[in-house]
Amino acid sequence: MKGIEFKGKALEYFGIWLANILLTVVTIGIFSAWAKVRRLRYFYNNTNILENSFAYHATGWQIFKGRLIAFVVIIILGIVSSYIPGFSFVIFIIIFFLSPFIINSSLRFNARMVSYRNIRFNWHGNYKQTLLYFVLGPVISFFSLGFLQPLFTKFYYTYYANNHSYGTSRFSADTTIKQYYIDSFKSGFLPALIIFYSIIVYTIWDIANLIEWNFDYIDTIFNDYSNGFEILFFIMIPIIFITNFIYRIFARNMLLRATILSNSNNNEISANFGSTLNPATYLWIIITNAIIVPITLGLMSPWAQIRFYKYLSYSTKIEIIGDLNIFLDTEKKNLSSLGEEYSEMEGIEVNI
Amino acid sequence: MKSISNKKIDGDFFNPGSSKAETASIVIEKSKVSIFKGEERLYHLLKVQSVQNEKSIFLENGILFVTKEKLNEIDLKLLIPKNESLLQNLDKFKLKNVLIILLITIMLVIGYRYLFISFSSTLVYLFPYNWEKKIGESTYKTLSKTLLEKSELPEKRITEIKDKSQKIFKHSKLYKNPEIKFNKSNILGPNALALPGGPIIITDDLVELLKDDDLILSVIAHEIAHIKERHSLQQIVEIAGLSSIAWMIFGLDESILEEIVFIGINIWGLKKSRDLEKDADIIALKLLEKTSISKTSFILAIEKLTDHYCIATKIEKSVCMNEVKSGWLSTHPSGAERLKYLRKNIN
Repeated sequence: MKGIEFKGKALEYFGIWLANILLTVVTIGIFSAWAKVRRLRYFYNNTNILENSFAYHATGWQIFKGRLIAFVVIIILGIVSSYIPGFSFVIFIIIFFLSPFIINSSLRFNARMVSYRNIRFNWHGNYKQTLLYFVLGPVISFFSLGFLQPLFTKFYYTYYANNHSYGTSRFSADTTIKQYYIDSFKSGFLPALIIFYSIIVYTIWDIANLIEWNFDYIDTIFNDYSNGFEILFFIMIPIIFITNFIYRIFARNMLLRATILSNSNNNEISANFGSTLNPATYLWIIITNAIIVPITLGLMSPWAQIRFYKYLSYSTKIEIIGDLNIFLDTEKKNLSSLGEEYSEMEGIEVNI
Repeated sequence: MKSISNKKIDGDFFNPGSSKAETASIVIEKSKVSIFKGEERLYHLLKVQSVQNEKSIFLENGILFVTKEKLNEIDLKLLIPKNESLLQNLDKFKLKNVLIILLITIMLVIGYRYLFISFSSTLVYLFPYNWEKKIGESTYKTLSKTLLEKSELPEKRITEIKDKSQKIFKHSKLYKNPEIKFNKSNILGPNALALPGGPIIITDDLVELLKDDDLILSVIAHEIAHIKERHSLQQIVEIAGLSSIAWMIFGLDESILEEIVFIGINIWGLKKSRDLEKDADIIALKLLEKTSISKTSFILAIEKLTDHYCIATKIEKSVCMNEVKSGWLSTHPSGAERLKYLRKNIN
């Protein structure tokens, strides 16, 4: 199994990055749609598997039109909601139920705009499952105090993998809920959650008992405990955040190891995948990038991006089995970028 | 410019929707491509959709041709539209290019920044007054549900202050006089707010703390100054303008830098807020002069409010009342600073 090769160079990308900034500033932001295409094209074009590079096909116009439509819709909704009381709530409901459609359009657009050896990728998710796994899942996971997160990660990740295709050939990942719970234990995420909630329950129990006996000293009791609570929040919350980050990396590694690409022609496995992403290295790259970029007033941003992407590619492994010549793509439809740009404006990011 | 490259370029040819690579060659003619297999011509003069990585030529109808070697500059010029070709020249890393681009970008950014700030006070007048008023009214509605409660002041006292404030309104020459709303608020304490286009909110605590009518009216004059100068809108325009510039420069990469820049803009916004407060203070003095209310009543009002702040924050009075420096996270200048420039203006 070999790592995906990324040939991008910081100095080479620096020129593209700087020209993008200049042209975006000159055109008061309009060029940013074209800048996005140039940036993504550079990254895809320099990503290689077996000496073949990926290609990116979206055009600046497609993205610009999508952004413009999304912008006009948001302005209209904003104006209407300022005139009609309670319309903001209606907008919330509309957006909530439209979000699976927007997410699906976004994922389909992103996939269809990328090709490898003249075959485009695709997304086949449906409204109901996207609503359940991408919209409701995180909400339920939150209300379960985090304990159902491994369950929903399983649904989310496998749904994401199983509904992507390379032309007519589908990706699939067979993982079990048990594996996700094991990873959440190994990463320390579930133990950290258990400790956190145990301390809260124990403290509340203790305070309730003390209040029962010393009702007159209720203020003193709360004051005594407030320091303890501060420590609990300042120590435990960062621990939960970091262990959750590690858990997500473990889950990504596990998902990619379980992913295969089956050729639609003969139903035989055409590619196996792997991932060796190391949480410590990954975190180190993110933190050092976040320090170096502002210090250099953004000038090291191209270097930081190349460094990050290089590590991500190097850690993603692929093994091609059989013939690369027999893949087919029957989809001919051209897509608009409305879904993609709208969700980007709204900050909806769907990735693993 | 030469439009035909007669030489054949070898590579792999992919049929539409197929990953099968077949050895073939191309000839570039008038920015179009003909594909040959041996001597047999498979396709004649196909339009080029894009050339990626200097090797992959995407043609009409979903055909792809990947050259064995990277295309040379002459062939690329034939295949790529002129505007794209210009961009590619700009992309090449040359120290001279980089320095020129950086310089132009920095100059443009600085230019935009001053343009926005110089014109923000003019730009706000392009914004319809009714829209501004609508923003103010809906903000008041939201505040009423969250921070404000019904006033507990006697109806007589409210009417008294409202009546007396008419003489300030008369001299302020506003397009339309804003309403004064009295509300109780445990969170805001003794405070007054001017929402865009009105209303002006006066808390019960402020009326009880200042007691004297002239002191309360001087605070109302300060709030009227905010509305007259459309300060809230001015701040929104400037922050939106600066955020757009920042987004153009830093927002393209979706990095953490974007967040840092927006924190910077917010801190700048707070400084702007302090400047606008000072502006409103000076205008309030002029309004008071026109309405024959003693200007010292505004100083007394600020003194009382500063004193109240010192007690509430438990900062030693001698320190608190003399702290002329404002924190860079404050929306208002410090009480001592305000008193200093107000006294200077009266004298």
